[in-house]
Amino acid sequence: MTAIATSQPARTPGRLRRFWRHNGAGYLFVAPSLAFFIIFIFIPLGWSFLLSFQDFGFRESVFIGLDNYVALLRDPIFHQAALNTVIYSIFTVAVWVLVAMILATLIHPLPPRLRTFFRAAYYLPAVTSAVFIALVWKWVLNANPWGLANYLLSLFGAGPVGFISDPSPFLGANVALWSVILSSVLTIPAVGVVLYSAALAAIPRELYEAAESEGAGALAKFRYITVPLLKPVTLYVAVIYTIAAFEVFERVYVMTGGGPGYATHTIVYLIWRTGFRFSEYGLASAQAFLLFAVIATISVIQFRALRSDVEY
Amino acid sequence: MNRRGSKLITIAMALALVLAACAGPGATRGPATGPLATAPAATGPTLTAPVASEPTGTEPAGTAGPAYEGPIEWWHLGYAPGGETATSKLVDDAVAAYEARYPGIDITVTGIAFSDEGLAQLGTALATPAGPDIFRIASDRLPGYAAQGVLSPIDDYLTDEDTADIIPNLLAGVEFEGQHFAWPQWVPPIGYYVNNQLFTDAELDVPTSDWTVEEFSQLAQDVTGEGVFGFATYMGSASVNELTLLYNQGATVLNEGSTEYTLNSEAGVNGLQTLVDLFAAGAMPPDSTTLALADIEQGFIDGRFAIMTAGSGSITNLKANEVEFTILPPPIGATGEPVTVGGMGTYAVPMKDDPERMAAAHHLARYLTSADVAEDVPGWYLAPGTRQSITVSEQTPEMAAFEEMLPFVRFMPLVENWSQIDAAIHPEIQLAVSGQKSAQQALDDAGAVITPLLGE
Repeated sequence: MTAIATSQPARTPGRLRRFWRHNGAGYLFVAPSLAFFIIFIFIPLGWSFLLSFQDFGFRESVFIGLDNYVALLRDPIFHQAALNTVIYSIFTVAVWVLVAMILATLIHPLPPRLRTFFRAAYYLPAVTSAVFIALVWKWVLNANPWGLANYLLSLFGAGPVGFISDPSPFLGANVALWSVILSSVLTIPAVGVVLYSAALAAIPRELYEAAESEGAGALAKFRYITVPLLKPVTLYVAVIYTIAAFEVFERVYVMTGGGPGYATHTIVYLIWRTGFRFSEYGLASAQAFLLFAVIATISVIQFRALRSDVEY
Repeated sequence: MNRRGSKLITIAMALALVLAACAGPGATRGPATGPLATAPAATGPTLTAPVASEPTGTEPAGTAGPAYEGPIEWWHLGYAPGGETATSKLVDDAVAAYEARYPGIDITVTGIAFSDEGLAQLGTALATPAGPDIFRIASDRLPGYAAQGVLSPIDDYLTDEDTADIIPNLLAGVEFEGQHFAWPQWVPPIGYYVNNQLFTDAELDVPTSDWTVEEFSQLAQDVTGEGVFGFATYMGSASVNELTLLYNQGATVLNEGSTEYTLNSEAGVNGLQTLVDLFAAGAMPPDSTTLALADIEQGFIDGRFAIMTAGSGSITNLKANEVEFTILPPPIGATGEPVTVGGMGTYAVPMKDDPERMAAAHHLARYLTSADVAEDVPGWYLAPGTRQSITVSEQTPEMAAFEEMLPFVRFMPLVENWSQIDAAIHPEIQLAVSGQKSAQQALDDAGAVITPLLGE
C-alpha cells in the first residue's frame, strides 16, 4: 500500500507529459478558436439565459423567475410572430431543398466548364449582401404601378397588387407575408446547389448504367437512385435551411418593417424589437431561448426522420 | 477527453446554468448591474446632484466657467468624425467654440448610429460607470432612463435666467415625476409640406395656414392625378407624423395624468377616419402602410406626393433639391386651433461619481442649448429653439412656419414605457388604413395592449 501511495505522484506528471507530448500541439492549435468561442459565444449565451429570468434594468435587474416566459406564451403578438415564422419556414425550406436538388441535378450532366459556370452563378446570392437583396425585392414588389412586378402585371391588364403592403388574409396567411415568402423562394438557394452538386459527383456512374440497362427513364433514375442517395445531404440542407428560415430577420426588417400591422412580424424581428427598441433584454432573451428550443426540437425531428446510412 | 468525461462536463455546465438562474436576485443580476451594485445611493432617481456641484445663490453654474478641468465624453447620435456630415461639422464647431471659451475642458465626441441599435449601444453604456458625460436624446426617451436613476436632474443647475428664457410648456416637456431630466434644445413639430409645383400643375391654389381638415381632405383628392398622390405620411414606429390628424381633433394618447388610454375617443376615431378615407379614395400611395420616412421625402422631391408630413429637418434637403414648397401647420380640426405634435431634442447628463465632472457636463449642456452656441456656431439650430432668446428663422426663413407652431405643439406623454405604447399604436393605424379593421376597432385594440402597460 505504501509503495502504491508513494509512486502515484511520480506517475501523474509522467502521464501528463506523455499526454502533452502526444496532444499538446493539437490543443494549442484549437486554443484560440476555443477561447473565442467561450468568450464571445458561450459566456454571452449563458448570460442571456440568466437574463431571460430577469426584469432588465440599466443599473439593476430583478429576478422574476419564469414571468418572461409566461408573458410570452400569453402574448398575442408573439403568437402571431410564431405562426408567421412557422408558415415562412415550412414553405421556404420545402422550396429551397427542392429547387437546390433539381438545379444541381440539371447542372450535373453539363460539360465541366459549363457546370463550373452555373455553380458559380448560383452561388452569387450567397456572397451578396442580404440587405441588398431585400432592397431589390422591396422595389420589385412595390405596390405602386411603377413597381416591377406590378408593371409586368399591368401588361396583362392585371394589378396593381399591394404585395408587401397588403395585410389582407390570403391562403391561410396574408398577402404581405406570402410576398416575403415569394421573395425568399425566388432567391436561389446557393449553398444547397453547391452541396448537392458535390454529392451528385460522388454517386457511382454504374448505378445509373445498371438502371438504364433495366429500362429506367430519367425520372425513374432521379426518383430511385438520386433522391435516396442524396438523403444525407438532404438532411443537412434541410437542417441548415430550417435554422436560417426560423431566423429570418433582415428581409422582414428591410421590406416591410414587420408590417402592415403585425402581418410580417417574425420571431427574430420580435426579438430585435423587444431588445433594441424597448430595451427589454430579459424578455428578448426569453424569446430567443424559446426560439432556440423550437429550432432544436425541429432539428432533432429532422435528424430522426431523415437519418440513413448510405453507402456506395 | 473520453466520452464519459465530456458527458459529465456537459451535465455540470447545464446544472450550473440552471442553479444560477434559480438563485436569489443578488446572484442573478445581469451584466449591467455588476459594476454598480455597490454604487452610492446618489444614483437613485429622486435624488438631486451632489452638494459639491450645486450652484450657489446668485452665481449660477450656468454662467460661470466650470470648476472642473479635464476630459468630457460627449455621445452624439449621427455624428461622424472629421465633419463628414453637416451635423458633424456643426458638432465639431461647437466643440471648438466651447473649448476656446473654457480651455480647461477637453471634449471627445463619439458618434452613435441614429437608430434603435445606436440607442441600445447608449443604453449599454449608461449601465456602466464609464459611459458618456453628456448625450443628445429625444425627450420621449427620458422617462425610461430617469426612472432607473441613470440621469442627473438639471434642476439644481437651472438658473432663474434659464427658467425665464425657456418657453414654459417646453420645459415641462422634460419633466418626469417632479424633476427636469434634460436640457431642452429644440422642438421639431410636425408640419405639412406642400409641393407648390404640383398644386400649380393641378390648377389649385396653395392652401394657407388656416386650412381645415375638410379643405385638406378635398385638396389631397383634387391634386391626386397621374403619378401623383395627394398625401403621404409616415405610419411606422417611433414617430408621431400621422397622429397630427388625431391630435388636431382633440385626441390624446393618454389622459393628463398618463393613467388612462384615451386615443380611442370619438376625436381619435374621427381623426383616424380622415386618414382611412383618404387612403380609400386613392389620394394616398398604395404602400402607405409600409412607406419608409426617407421614401416619403424622396417621393415629395420627385413630385409624386403633393403634401407630406415632416419635421423641420427636411428643409435643408428640399432646398438642396430645389423643390418649391410651402410649410403649413396641420389642418384645423375640432380643436379650432392649428394643433400639431412633436418631439423635443435634449441634452442629458448621466449620474456620475465625480460631482465636478458632472457639473461641467451640465455646463456644456446648458451652452449647447443656449443662444451662446447659436452665436458661436451659425446654423447650430436645425429646428426652433426652446428659448425665447433664440430665433432660428433669422438664419433660415422657412423655420418661421415651425416657430409659429410652437404654442400649439402637443408632446407625447412622458411615461417610462413609451416605446411599447408607441409600438402598439402604429400597427393598428396601419391595419385601419388598409381596411382590415374599423378606426374604432383599431384604436380599441391598441388600447388592449397599452392599458396593461400603464399598470406596470
